[in-house]
Amino acid sequence: MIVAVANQKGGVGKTTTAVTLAHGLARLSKRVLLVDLDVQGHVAYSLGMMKTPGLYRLIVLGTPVRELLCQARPNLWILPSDKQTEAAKRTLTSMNFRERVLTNALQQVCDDYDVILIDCAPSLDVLHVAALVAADLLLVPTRLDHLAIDGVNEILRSLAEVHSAGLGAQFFGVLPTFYDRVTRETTEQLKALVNVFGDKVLPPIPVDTKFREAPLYGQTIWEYAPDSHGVQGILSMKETRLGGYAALVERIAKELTR
Amino acid sequence: MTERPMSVDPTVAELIKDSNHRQHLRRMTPDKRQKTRRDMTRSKATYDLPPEIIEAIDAIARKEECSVSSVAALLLAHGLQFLALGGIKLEDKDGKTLKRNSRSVRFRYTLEIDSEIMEKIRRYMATLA
Repeated sequence: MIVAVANQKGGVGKTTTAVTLAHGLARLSKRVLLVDLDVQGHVAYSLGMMKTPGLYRLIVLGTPVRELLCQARPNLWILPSDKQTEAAKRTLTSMNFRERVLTNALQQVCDDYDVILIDCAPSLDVLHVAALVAADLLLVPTRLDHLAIDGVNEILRSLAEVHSAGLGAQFFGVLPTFYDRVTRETTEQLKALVNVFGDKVLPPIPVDTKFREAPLYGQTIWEYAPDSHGVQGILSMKETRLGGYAALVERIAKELTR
Repeated sequence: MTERPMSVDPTVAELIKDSNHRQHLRRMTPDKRQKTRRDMTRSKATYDLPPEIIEAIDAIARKEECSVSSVAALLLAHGLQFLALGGIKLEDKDGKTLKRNSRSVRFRYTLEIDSEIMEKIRRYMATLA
């Protein structure tokens, strides 16, 4: 199964979500490949590894994908990216069937993994469309503010265009991130999101400074702060845990067994 | 035209409810907020009891300088223990029963407190006065 993590808006928690889900699923003994489509190359950086032009070599030099994969943790491999991905995008614009470039590349390794996660760049470029074409499921992280929610609508319009060509991922859900229950605005935006997307709105990820600290040590949140709110969710007045990545990982793991 | 009800993920629905409740608490004065929080942790029940029993519990609470709730809880706990050990028979072998047909449509029976027990309670109350 291929899951694209995408939102054209930047700073909504796409890379954090992709890395956290990838490592979370790997810890559940799933074989996971995480593909970085962002020129910033933050997937490798978040896992304490060097940025390398893996995606560039794949698209421009035609290197077989298996030669480009790096093992980041037990059960977790990455296809890294760096600023040369920008040049790869320029090369792609002159290629035929460019929107199928990722589908073709990932088909070579699809059977080696239980799940392939694609961390998309914050833009609506050719790689973004290629990710929507290659994926089976689309997960859209969003901050709970008006502009970010507009970004959700934009990506869903892109998905609708891909669907109109008979291709593309199923919409798995919107993942509210940076959920801060202290501010009334956050709750109001969550309600607004629910009014539009109903049960496609997934339990939110609480705001947590541990997410900012973990990459400084080259660790994922599972290694740096596994008991944090961001992982375990926030405690409700009924003393139950709500939201957090642990619950989301379980939900996706369940989806994999269907 | 009526709007179709939107289905919501149960965790998200609980989170919104929780947030609304927290915001409601935040708008209260500190005293009211503290009282509401305290009330939330309490478990309360309302029962119809004979006036003599209510008076007896009040009198014991005054004498022992404690709350009526704690007296009621203690006596009920002892009563339940007594029932569990077979000390209270709702129906005995001779067919003598504490069960009386109820006039309520909700219940088939009511349980009658033995007149001897009520008399003992009255005597005990007289010693407290």
